[in-house]
Amino acid sequence: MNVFLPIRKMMWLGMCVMLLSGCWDRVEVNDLALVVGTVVDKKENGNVELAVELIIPQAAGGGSDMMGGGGDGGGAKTYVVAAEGADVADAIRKLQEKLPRKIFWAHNMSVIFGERLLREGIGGQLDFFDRYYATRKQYYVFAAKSPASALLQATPPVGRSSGEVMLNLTKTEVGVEMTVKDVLQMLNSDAHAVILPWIEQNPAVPGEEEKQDTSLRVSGVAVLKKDKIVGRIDDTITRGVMWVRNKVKTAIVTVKPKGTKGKVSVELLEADTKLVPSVTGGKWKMTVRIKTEGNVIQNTTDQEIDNPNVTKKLEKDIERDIQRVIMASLDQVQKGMKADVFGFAEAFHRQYPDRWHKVKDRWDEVFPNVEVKVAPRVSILRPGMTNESPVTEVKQP
Amino acid sequence: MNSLLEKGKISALQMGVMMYKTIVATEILFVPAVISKYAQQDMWLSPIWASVMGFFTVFVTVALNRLYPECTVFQYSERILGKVPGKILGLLFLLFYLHVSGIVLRQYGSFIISVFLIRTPLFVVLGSMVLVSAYAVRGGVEVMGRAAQIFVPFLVLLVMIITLLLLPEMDLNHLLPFMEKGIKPSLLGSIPPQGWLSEYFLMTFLLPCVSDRKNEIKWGMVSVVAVIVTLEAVSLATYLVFGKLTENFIFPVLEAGRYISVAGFIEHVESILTAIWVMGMFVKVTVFYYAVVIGLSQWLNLSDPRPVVLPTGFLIVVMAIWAAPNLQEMFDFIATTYPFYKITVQVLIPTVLLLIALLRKNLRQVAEGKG
Repeated sequence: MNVFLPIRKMMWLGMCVMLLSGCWDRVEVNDLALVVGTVVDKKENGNVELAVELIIPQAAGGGSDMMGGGGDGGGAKTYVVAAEGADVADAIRKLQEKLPRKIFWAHNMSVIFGERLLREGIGGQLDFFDRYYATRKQYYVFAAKSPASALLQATPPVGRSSGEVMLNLTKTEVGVEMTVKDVLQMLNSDAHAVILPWIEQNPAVPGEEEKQDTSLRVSGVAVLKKDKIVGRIDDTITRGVMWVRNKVKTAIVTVKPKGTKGKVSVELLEADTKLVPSVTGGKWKMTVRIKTEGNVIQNTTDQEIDNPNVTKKLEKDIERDIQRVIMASLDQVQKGMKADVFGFAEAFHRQYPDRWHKVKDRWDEVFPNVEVKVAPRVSILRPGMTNESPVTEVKQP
Repeated sequence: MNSLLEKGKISALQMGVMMYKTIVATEILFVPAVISKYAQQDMWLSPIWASVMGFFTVFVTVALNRLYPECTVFQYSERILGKVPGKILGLLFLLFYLHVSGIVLRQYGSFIISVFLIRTPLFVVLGSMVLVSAYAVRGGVEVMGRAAQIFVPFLVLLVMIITLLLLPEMDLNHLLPFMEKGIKPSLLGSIPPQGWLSEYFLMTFLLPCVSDRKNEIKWGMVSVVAVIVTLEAVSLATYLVFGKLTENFIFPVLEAGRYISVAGFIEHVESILTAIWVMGMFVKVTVFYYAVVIGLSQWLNLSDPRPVVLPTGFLIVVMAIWAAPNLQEMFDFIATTYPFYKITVQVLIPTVLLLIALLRKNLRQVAEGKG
């Protein structure tokens, strides 16, 4: 009996060795092409064009050609590959034919939809990013002019890749942030309207057109109804939409107080918006209550900011300015495009579920006639680090 | 006849911990999607309604155990119903647990294969899990209990990670309007978690090994509460992040884990979450596996369960492969038939057994009193 004992032990050990090799669909990092930015667009021939910006992980240690490049500060090279197909998945297959490494989606940061695709509807192509097992709902989504793949070609002066730059542009909290999840959520919401930040290349400096500026910028948003684009709005109007959607985190508001020559700028550091719906009779009303507070950061008037009366007037001025911005955006988006990107439908649904179900199917007709009242309340908590502006001193003698 | 096959002893706390992991492991994977399909924004109510089923199952299981302290369901069903009907009922339980073990294993396999190991054959994923579990089951209930006790802090960590790191993404507005369509959707949504909670009947296999008998009902109930709290935390976190989207996802909690992004560097945590979850899955498979092995050896009156461990494991793998042809059917089964299947066998039949047992006991006492 004891003779067999070592043999049995050896067998167990042998089985363990077999397991040690690990899982068999493992992929080493030097077999991967990391996607950091994606563009999905429609070609004129009706095909879907997919362009990806790739970072190719280099083997650690490197060859002799790497020796001199130590001072580059790890400037990873990115390059852009494009392919077309019947849909995104088909295009990926075509793309893979051109790449000796496996396309790896986990580190993608941005997805940009081209204007031509936006006109036909992004839903079908968005499904890929929702359904595929390797993609994430955390990707940031943008819209851009066709052909959008040009944006990936740009090598931005700040940041390692276009994909990363776009991501960081939305994270500056000035513009709208939309992830795949947010887009899906807005598409699935009662309003079926979506906004996507519009990304474009900085226009060339006059006189230096041949030296194409490669930096990117966010310029307003594209407004989508269902999944099709209905228009674009500029930065100011976008701010209005963001105020209503409670997406404003910080803002700098510059106003011209009455009876003075200069202007005062206030940095708002806290902002909270509440939508208060009411239905009386057949009238659908919405009150947008905004509470915000901030500091004065620049004063070019001759007024003393630490005078409470001045502050109070200033607060009123800022309230009027916020009101003006929101009204302008309501004018353009609610009355003009008739797209409920403000989240009114949800607000009514929450407050008046029964009434909502009656108008659900004709919300498109009801929405433009919703009466909106904007009620901002601004408190300026600090005058900044100083009281009188240098302007005052010049004037006094 | 009522000889114990199991020599090991566990504490009531270990039993509670084992049951907690057994329920939670697959519950957090499938239940959030199913309950939000039925109950939408009222989905957070469903686990609360479902807890009734959990408490009831624990009560019935412990009550039966009090009547026959050294027996599992395979033994007392013979004592309550008589030799032949008891054996037939035993066979039913045996096949049920074999089938459900297969389904549980398949749930694990489907998840791993559809998200992480896309090209690995199902057989390899299932087989490796069963091999590890077989080792634990051969070791007996003591080994399983201690393994569960060691793993439980990790599972708590998993729940904490998901709920706390997602806090910045949550929006309470997703829960309004409250009870838009009345109480019915949330009651409907409570049926799938009820099915899961009926698995507390598995305690029947662990109770004979518990050393501190007086604490068993306490830890059983605490365990149910822990399950409800966990399910509530995880599904609420998911729903507060995704809102109505939750019902569209196949694995909402995985999506939530993937959505975690804190300070730009705590992200892509789903591999860690899954690793922790696999620990829970291990306990779940082990407990079900153990039930089948003990059931089989008691049903066949074997003196030692260990020789049947590996063959049973093989059967479970085969059952898992048979359980469903694809994930769609699996999901449909989980959302519709599965809860009723589990509740019928694990709650309805034991309740009837308990009633008959009490009736017989009373009749006997009456007879004795007269005699």
